[in-house]
Amino acid sequence: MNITVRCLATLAGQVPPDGRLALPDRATVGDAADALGLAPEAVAVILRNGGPVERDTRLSPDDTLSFIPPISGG
Amino acid sequence: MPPPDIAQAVRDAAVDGTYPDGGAGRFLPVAAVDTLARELGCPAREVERAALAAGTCPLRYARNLRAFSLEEQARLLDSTAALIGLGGLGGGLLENLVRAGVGTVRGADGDVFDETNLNRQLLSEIAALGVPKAVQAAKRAAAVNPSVTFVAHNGFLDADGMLALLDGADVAVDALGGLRDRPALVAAARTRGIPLVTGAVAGYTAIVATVLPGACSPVEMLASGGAGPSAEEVLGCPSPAVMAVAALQACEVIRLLAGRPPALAGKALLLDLETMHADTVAFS
Repeated sequence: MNITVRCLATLAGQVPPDGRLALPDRATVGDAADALGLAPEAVAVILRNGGPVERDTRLSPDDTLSFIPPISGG
Repeated sequence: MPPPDIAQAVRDAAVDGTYPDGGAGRFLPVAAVDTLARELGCPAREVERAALAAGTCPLRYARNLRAFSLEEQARLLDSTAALIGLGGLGGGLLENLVRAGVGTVRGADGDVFDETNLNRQLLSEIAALGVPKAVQAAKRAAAVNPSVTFVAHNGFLDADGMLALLDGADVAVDALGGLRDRPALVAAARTRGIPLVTGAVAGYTAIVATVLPGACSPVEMLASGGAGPSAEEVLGCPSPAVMAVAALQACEVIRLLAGRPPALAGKALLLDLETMHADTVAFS
């Protein structure tokens, strides 16, 4: 299946050029993070279609995943 | 209690004018507010409240209308915001709240301005390097809108200090940088039973959220997840992102104080200003 990926702030360089990622069926959020080379400790929150999810959440085709690092500046 | 003759004095001093849409109105110029406050021996805010009660708009707020009604403007004057942090977010927030006519702003920061603040912190300037942020904030508030009471706390707040600052306030505003003090502020707002408007920046990524009492804070979640350095330590805090978040927080604060429902309750506005992509994310 293919999903859409967004990586914010310090993670921006990990996004594939077309923003799409091909994964096996039944892949999880953690599988997507691993495929992108995102270390677990670099990610604070993962959103699936706009809602927070955990790494073991199973993905569906055409999901949009957003990976956000710790952000606390002001 | 306002002086009994304040209503008549306001009526006498008001002038005819027009709102931007061409509608006729009665307005009270800044100089008249100041003169009446001195003659009647009352705070300028009371003069403005009496004007609004009589359907007269203090001229300084004329361009707030009709974004707010006169009644909402009066509510703003009657309200109290507790602003924690007077740096990047706090400076922009103070500017917005004071100009909007939020009647009382309590502001706390124990820091002094240094050169690294100059890229983004509205209250910082060459002449203010080494000056306490709370002192500079008080000067700015008085210079922009003396009808607003700015209560400066020149010190960093511990958990008890936050509880004290939030006591009797209508809204708590998180203008803290970094993670260290944010959980205590979330807890204090929860204890006081008031909403918390929060925001954070890293590079051109920004988040704004409103935390209603008892709800979790998305910024706390974002700030506390992961074990690596916070993104702002890598990407910095550029001025446009900081000013944007301060303005968006101010929108939410003013909406709450005017008596309207918050737009971001249980949600976070997530902005990528690099691509101008915005998401509203539901947090539960």
